[in-house]
Amino acid sequence: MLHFQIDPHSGVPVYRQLMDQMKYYIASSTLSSGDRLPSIREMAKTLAVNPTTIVKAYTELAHEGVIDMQHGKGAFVSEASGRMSEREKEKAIRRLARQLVVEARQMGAPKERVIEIVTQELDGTL
Amino acid sequence: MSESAIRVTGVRKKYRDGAQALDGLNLNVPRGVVYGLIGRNGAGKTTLLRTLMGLLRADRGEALILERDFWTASALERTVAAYVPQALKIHTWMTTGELCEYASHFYPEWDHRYARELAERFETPWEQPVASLSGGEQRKASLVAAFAARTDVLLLDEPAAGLDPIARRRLIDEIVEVISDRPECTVIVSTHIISDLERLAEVIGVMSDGVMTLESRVDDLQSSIRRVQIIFDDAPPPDLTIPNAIRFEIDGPVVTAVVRDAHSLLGRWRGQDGVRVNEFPIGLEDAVIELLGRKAPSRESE
Amino acid sequence: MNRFKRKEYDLVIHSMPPLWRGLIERDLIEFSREAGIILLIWWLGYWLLFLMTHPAINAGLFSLLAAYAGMRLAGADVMEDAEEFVFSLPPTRDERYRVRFILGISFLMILVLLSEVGLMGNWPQLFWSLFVDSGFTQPFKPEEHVVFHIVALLAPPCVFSITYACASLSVSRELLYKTIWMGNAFTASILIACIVVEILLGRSPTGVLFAILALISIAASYELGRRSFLRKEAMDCGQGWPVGLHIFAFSIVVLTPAAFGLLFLI
Repeated sequence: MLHFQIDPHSGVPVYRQLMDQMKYYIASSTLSSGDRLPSIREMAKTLAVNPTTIVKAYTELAHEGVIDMQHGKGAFVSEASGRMSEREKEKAIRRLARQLVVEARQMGAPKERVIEIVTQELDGTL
Repeated sequence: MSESAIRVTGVRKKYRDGAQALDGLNLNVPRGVVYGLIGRNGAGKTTLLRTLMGLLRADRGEALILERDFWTASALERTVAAYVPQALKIHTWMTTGELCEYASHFYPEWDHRYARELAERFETPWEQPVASLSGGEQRKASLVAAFAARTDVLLLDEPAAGLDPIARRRLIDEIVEVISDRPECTVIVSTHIISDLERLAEVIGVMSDGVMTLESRVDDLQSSIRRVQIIFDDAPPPDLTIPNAIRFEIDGPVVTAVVRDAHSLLGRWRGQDGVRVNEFPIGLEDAVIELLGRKAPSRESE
Repeated sequence: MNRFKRKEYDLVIHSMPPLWRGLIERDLIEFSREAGIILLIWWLGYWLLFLMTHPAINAGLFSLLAAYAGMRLAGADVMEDAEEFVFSLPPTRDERYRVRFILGISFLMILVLLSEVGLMGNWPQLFWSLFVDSGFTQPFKPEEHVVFHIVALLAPPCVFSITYACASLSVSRELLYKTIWMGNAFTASILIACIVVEILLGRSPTGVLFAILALISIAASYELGRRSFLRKEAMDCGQGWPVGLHIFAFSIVVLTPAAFGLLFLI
């Protein structure tokens, strides 16, 4: 089974932590469409987490369209998950960008300079 | 499910020495929930569990397990709940095996094989008198007996105290196992080890001075409580107010606050000139400490 | 929901016998050794040493045994500080009270009745006449000792019942140990009072008055004790004397007057 890390001091609800990691695995293609996810029981026991928490994580993921819950068969990574995770990625980047903008404004850095730095970083790492 | 597993209404309990252990406590736990009971020593957690089990009689109010008052319930009705006391004081001659044998007569769903398995998993000596074991080992024996009874309600009073980290994880595993196998099973855990509750509990109740001061879903509590830091270039405005603050401090230009619902606060200050805002998540344990341990803020406005 | 209903049905069918069995079994394990020692002493004293040649001796010795048994049975959980655990198990206080009372009083009464019947039939002497020539003691004539027989039959259960009721209500070991004397003191005082009343009325004591009062005391103390026990809260019993030390002290205190009483009678 894939590793999921529960950090009890992070302040992020456990079901959120699971959701984020599941999305990460899908976005990084460790899990792909149609893959079967561990059963709720299995997850609960391996992670030593209340099964209702796993249910909540799975339900939320299903709600977002990342996974499909098929009654009696288990949970699978949905066909649409690739597209969904694109949108997720964009959301995450936008969140970081907003933080950058706020910080930059607080420090009074001019807009052109910020864009320049971002471009440099992009060129440097990609 | 409409039926609640635990229903406590206005329970008061005063001990003979005059200490008011419970002071009009209310509690409602639906079936199938793992409920974490938190509070400082002397907050009344043990008294609450003892009253529920019918060991003590409430001076006023009702304490019901599955709609039964254990103080007056018949033996038949009392088979729905098992209790792990803080210290297992037991007949000196009784071994873990004898303890299980003894308890097995009273619970119709008693699972002897499970008892043996559990004892093995917890590494509890089966044929040694319980009284001669260490505190942690006694706790394990008591847990074995309570879990093997396969009751619908489990009341655990500080089950993790005195257990080593491995036994503690086993305990969590077992609780998870029980609630995975039987989702209708309700577990009440009083504990000081809050990080365990993060994994287990759906709802936590914080007790102090015999009343429930806060009750919240763990998720909600975690996603709503935040530590926020606001740094002003100049001194903060003298009429500064922090809505929903549990606590806040001003130290020169730096204002730190622990707030419920950080959104409005962040929305207000973020992006203003001459102000820098940071938000930090706060773990359940820290959140509870903030809620329990610190005095109310000196300048609070709701 | 269905599951729940089924369980309750099963419970009605199967649970009551195991419940009593569980309670009795546990007490048998705990008290079998003490009961064995008591039986051994009784057997030695009764059959071999001829200690119980008079119903008055029976009354005295069994009353002391009754006091000890009442305290020990009713106070077992307090003595071991196990009330919290014991009360959290399904059996109610009512059931616990009744089971132990029945256990204790049956054990006691079997011994009392055997001794009395044996005394009337001169069994120990018959036993010994198998080995030695008889005639070194007077044959026992039951018709001369009606009062003593009544006392021998009713004083021990009266002492037991009162001690049991008091002991089951004690909340600490210190209190528990004091209850030993209560049953004896109470029974002795009603016995003396009855005899005094009968003498004052100008009759020789018949024991009828005592019989009536003793039976009332047994029933009343049982019922009052039971009702109060239903309201008993499980508390920390605190530390008292170690049990062994207490039993030692008790046996000295009990054996000394018993020995004096014997010397006096013989």
